[in-house]
Amino acid sequence: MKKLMMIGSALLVLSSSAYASQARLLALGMNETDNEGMYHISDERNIFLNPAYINIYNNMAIAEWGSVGSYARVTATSGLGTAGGTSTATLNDAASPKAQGGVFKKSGDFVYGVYFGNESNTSSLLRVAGTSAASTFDKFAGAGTVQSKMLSTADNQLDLFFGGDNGLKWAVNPVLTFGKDETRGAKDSGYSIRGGVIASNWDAHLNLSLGSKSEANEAITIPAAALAQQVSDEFKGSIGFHVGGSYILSGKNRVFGYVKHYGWEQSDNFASYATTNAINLGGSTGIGGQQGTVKGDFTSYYLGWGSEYDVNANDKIFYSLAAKKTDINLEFSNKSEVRNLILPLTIGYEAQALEWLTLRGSVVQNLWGTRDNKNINNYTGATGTRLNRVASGLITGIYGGSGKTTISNSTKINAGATLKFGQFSVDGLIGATSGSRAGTVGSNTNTGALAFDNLETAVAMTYKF
Amino acid sequence: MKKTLVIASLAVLSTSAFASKARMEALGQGDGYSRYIMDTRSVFLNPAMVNEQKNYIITEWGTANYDADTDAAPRAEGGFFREMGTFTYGLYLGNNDSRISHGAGFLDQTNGLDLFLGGDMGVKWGARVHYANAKDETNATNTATTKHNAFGLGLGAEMGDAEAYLNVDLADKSTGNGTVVGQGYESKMKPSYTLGGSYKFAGWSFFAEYDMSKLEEKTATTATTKDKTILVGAGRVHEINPTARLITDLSLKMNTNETAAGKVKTNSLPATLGMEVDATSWLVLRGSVAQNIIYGETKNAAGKKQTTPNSTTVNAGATLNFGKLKVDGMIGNTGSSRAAGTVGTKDGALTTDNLLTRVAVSYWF
Repeated sequence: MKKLMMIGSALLVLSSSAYASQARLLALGMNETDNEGMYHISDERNIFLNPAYINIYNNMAIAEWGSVGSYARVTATSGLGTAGGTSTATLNDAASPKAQGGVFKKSGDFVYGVYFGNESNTSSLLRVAGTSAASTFDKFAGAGTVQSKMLSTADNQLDLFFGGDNGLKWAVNPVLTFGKDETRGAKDSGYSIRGGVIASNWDAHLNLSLGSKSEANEAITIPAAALAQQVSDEFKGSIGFHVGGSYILSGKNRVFGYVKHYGWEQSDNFASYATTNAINLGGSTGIGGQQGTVKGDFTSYYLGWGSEYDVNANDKIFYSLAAKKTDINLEFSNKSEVRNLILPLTIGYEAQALEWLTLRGSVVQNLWGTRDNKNINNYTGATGTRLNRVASGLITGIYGGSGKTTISNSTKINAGATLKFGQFSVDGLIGATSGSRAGTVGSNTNTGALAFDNLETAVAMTYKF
Repeated sequence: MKKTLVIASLAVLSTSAFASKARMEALGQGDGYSRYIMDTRSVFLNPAMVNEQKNYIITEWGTANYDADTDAAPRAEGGFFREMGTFTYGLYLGNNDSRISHGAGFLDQTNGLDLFLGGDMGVKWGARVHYANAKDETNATNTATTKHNAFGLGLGAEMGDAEAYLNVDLADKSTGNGTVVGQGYESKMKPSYTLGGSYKFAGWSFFAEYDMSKLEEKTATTATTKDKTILVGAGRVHEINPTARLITDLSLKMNTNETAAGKVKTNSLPATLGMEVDATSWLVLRGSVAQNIIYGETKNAAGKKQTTPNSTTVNAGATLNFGKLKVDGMIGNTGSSRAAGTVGTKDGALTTDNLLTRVAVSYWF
């Protein structure tokens, strides 16, 4: 502590107005699959919710630390073949952040910017769900290959921004991502455009997904079933949208809401599910999946109220109450469904503890939370025709497994800090490192410890020029 | 507490002299050199840069490790550069880079020695001579004596806004194989070179470079590896104010690697956005984000193309200024887990136990 204070005492004192990072909003209770921002808390990260925010957050460079971009394809099947055969996929989250960043510059009445690496978790989730269940065998012992057979998720994403302020702040944000791998007959692409406006007491955005496609055609061998097949699978998104906005009722009281909807069609020509669903995969059978074409859709409704209270010039208290309903449908013969309804209450604080240090945190709990999911993770011993086993691990991690139940243990505490070095800020989460030092020190393990070795995690650095 | 006091007592000095591989990596200059950012590393690309970066000693921390040099296991090296009248000379130890690493069992480059001499006669010029020599008669598994020698020459000039350089490896030869019994085994670099230059215009540096390497390796069979890279691009160091710089570059890189298995072509269009800020009088922070823009793919020997995946990278670093002594390093380069192998792992953690990694210390006199 003394060390921290002594180092900090030498730091320069400058404005703290330019907050900008996923870590800050995560510490204040953000709970969005794509970490795209919050309506009632102003932050640079909100540009991915409403690009018109570039008119507020510009003349800045940001770099969010993390590992390389496309995770889902690389690690989607890690763990298969081990006892239990759990299949998981890793997305961009606080424990394994993706490297990303960009620059935003004002020029006269206009603002432009470029941002690298902000691939969508939702897009990855849907493409993993659309992958042939035969990919489940990818790393299964004896399958003879270590290369992932997942459909490629978005990678090397480029976001361009252009906006202006003519009394009404506005901006557009075209998004482009594509890739190919001819060695596995794989191609993927994604195009979307975001647009938004911010007026004096309201804001609105429309984010359109114009196209999302991922396909592969490759050999999959399954020695346990004496199978070697050329498997062709495809995910094809139809037009998707994310429309929403907020309105200031009075003072800093704001109501907000959005509707997200994505539809898609997935096809899979793997013809041996009847055989492969009987294979024991590390202790359990069943991989889900279904030959042919299956339609899917994802819809999320969000409505809430939020406000902030200025304790003094530097310190704030935030609070919000919202209702969020998420429905996912996959039209297998045994239809896979997610029905998730939560009413989270969030209370957050942000305080300038020292000239060079801002601390923040939040507590979140569902006042109401239920789920009624079907055929999400009950592939064990089943005869297939449901969500594939890999996507099952991913969706279960976010929306829970099959069955109707109250969502338990929804109370979450997050905390973060900003170290200010003049116009240069280093944001991060704190309290997200396990208190145990037995073997490893894991990040995003909240066991109540303030660890000094991992001073911050999910770090972002910002320079405002 | 002592550490605290040391940090608190740092003197305030200019941060204009930067020098390290860590700095280059933090600013997204992946191969350890920049074609447009001034740094002591520039002398290995253009020896004429000894006229710009002089009167210092630098030590890059690491282990003696032949030609291997990674974030997780950096190679120990260092040297000094000094001005003498209108001339500058320098000596650098441990620069063991081979253009193409020799195969298993062959002795790699070790104990590399680089001598520099430069001058300013209206045109700034510089020359570098590289030498390395080694022999091993103690090999237990093979009675063959293994030998290695390398000799290279670098020439460069800088005139106004233009600069040019030529680095030639005249020899990089390893004879005798330590693990395979056989006569006449050798791994030999044919004369290979890097030719490049840049021109500053309207605040931008436009650069172009051609690099050609050829390695012939004789064991039971003879294998030849050819590697060619064409690089063209533009970069800019935009000084926002006297204490902050924005770094921007965009380049087209075309590489062809040819072995007995066939030709592999890798083309990319990487862009880098970086920043370097004098955060306090004693601390410089820097970082960058880089990604291939639209174009980035590899065509393998079978003619199949693959988009280069996961090209988005973020790097960060810091310099601690202790007066004339500067400690450079990378930050954010230690995994949040302290399990084996997590140094060199980027997963978004700011660690204080590994305060800096890939550390370099320089003293300017």
